[in-house]
Amino acid sequence: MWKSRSSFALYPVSIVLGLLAWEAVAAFVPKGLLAPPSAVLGRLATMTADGSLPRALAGSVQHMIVGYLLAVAAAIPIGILIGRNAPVATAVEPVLNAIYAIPPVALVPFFIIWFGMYFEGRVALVFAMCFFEILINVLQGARNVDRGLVDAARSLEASGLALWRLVVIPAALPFIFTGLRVGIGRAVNAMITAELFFVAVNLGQMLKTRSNAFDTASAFAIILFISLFGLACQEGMRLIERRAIPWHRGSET
Amino acid sequence: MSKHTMAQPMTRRSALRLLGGIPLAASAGFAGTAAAADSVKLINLGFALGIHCPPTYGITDECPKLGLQVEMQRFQRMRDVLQTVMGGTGEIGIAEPILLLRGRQAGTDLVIFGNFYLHTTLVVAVNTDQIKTWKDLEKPDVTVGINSQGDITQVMIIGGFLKAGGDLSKVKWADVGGSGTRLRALLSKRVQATVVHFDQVPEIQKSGNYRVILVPHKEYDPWINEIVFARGDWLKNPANRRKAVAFMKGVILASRRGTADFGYYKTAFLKHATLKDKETMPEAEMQAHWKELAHGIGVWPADNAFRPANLEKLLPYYHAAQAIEDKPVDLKAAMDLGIVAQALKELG
Amino acid sequence: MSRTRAWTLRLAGIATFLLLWEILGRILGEALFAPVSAVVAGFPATVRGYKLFAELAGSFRQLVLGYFLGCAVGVIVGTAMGRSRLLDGLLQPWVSMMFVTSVASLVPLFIITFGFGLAFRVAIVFIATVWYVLLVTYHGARDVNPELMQTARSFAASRVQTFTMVLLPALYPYILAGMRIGLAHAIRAMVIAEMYVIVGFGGVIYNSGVEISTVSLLGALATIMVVGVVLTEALKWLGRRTAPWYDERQQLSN
Repeated sequence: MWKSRSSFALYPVSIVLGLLAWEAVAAFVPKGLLAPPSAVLGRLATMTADGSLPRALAGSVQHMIVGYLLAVAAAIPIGILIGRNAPVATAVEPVLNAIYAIPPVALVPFFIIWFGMYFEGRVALVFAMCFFEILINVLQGARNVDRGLVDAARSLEASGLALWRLVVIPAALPFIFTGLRVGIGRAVNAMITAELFFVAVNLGQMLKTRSNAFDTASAFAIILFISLFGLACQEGMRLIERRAIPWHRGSET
Repeated sequence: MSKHTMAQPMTRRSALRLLGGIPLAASAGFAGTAAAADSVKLINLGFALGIHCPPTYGITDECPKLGLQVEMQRFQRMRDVLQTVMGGTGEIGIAEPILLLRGRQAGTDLVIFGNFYLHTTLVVAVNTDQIKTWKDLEKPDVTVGINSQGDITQVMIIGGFLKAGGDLSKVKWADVGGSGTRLRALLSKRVQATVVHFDQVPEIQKSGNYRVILVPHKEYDPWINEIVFARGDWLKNPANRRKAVAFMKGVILASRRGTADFGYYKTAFLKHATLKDKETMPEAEMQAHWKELAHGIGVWPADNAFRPANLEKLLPYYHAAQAIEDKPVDLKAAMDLGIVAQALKELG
Repeated sequence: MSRTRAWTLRLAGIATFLLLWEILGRILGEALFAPVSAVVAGFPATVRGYKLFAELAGSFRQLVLGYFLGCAVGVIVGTAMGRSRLLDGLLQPWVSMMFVTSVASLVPLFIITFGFGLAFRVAIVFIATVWYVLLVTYHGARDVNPELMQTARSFAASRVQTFTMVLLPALYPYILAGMRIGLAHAIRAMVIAEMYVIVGFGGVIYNSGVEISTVSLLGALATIMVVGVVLTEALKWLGRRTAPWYDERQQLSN
């Protein structure tokens, strides 16, 4: 049985190795472009200790959570519907694939018009940036329910809701959770993107101000802070997955 | 959209220098260095409107006649232009002066050595339903749209606002981005004042009550929008100085001809403008624009108008907008006057 | 489902979408959101004025190169991470952190490393694609039924054989999902990279955004949409050709 906890123990080793590599590279690059980890970590520590980073995160996280939850609430039912209903899938997929191809940042001017430049606009961008990833995974999961299982359940006269609850949803859950995990990663990315493309607030504003001041050490510290937050979110999602579907485990050769 | 050869050999060399020989993905085909002519890598800003065309034409068509091949790459973000030159991948850059001066205050050694053109075709437009005077910008339900904090669009507005006695602390700013997005934000009433191009104004006025309240070349004397710069250490090399001189000669030659001769402007416009309708634009309209640019505003000065005093006059506005730090700016170190002086001398 | 029925449904879906677009466009007007009728009417001028198709063709090369490179690396590394505790521990933090970093912030560093030619654009597409393929494959790889692996061992299958004949087929739905997501991000990354260095198709989107009328901008975006659909269908076709034994439709119940 794979003890995920022991792979987690390697994380610090990995991070240290990565930082050493970074320090080496930064020695060759002008300081205005890439600050060395020593400087960045220093700024990270300072800005966390004085509360500026955590406070900004508290502000930024609001539109992220709202946008993410909206995307999940929309993607799961729609994904399952599309995955299990062939006519709906055929009708809707061309349009979905088409919209998915557009970079959300190209849509920002339109979001500004439709949703404004503040909170609503940011939520809309977060939604747009994670909806499809969650949807596609849910869709794949709903499609992949083994025909044999469904037939077996039917032969036992399970139908409708029971069929769903006992066969479809559990079979699709691993995919749904993959979608949730990929989705939250996207949402963290969207969180900061929204603050850079709409009116800059919180973390986005900090990042812009530091960048314009050519303070690359602080700018990288902010980016690193967000990355660590993203890492934490994804690990958190893994924990939730382990609790929700304990019978689904990765195994090792 | 006109394509310019991509920079290849220099990139690999500088990358190797910078990263100590990490193997790179092979890039397909690279431009061999031209036989006799000097070459230089130019990093330019986004799109090209009428005002940009003669100087750009000077770079692409006059400079080669003077022995300098220019490889040009356009970037969307000013920061990328500055960073690319700072990193050595580009040699000469064109950008607005504010962020560059801010960079100097932070210790980056970028030096301005000429103007690309003078003044600008940008103007400040307002929705007259809500804004009748400058003071109205202070109203709580008014948002002012700019490109990004501390840039030329914000400074442009601040100058006029302060002269009218406004209180900066009461103004709400919104970073909206490029001129297209700013325009749409204005039309959809998300902002009530913003900076647009003067030829967009008649169109805007068809959709509602809008008015221009500030024209930079009348308000500022002069307004500096785009300057030419390079790394300080790059400019110290005599061979590079010669390239810089040839570059400015090309720009100045084109500036003179563009001002004097509509035909020259037209050629430059058709070659370089990144506007969809340039091929179908009626000659009369093109000529009207040219007249306004060349003679009404005077954007292509015969002597390049590259003087410390001109930037000096704008510094108070940069400070007021908090676009640069609250420390004094050493313009002498920031500007290398020798290049333009030499170019003018050689051109006569 | 018969082919006619399938196409009727598709057209119905597309028609609904176009109708909504037209209505929204009529309400907002050309400057804010041109209706599809205006976009279509103005399309020839858009194509001529911005050399739309030439730029698109030019952009294709780095898209294809970067995408397939990203898929290959993503599948291999994702599978490896999913099956090896050591690799997972070593690589996971960086993968998770890179995943949430926006491509945009990497552009300056990439420019220094690769210049602004083909290598840069391929690299941007690669770096945008790989995480998605990797993460989704990784999830699938962790998931593989241990009995399958036992069976492979009992047949003394080599590592390569195990990979190609046991793992890959088992991972197929995950790889598909990953590749679909990766494709969308590859297209977007191509456009974004080009919006930064203002070249190719991304350059068209950038330049058309300066115009007052949104006809050209929406025309360019609509073209990207069509490209997205066409490429996704091509991906599905490729999937059917390489694994004909796996038919998604068989899994659907009505």
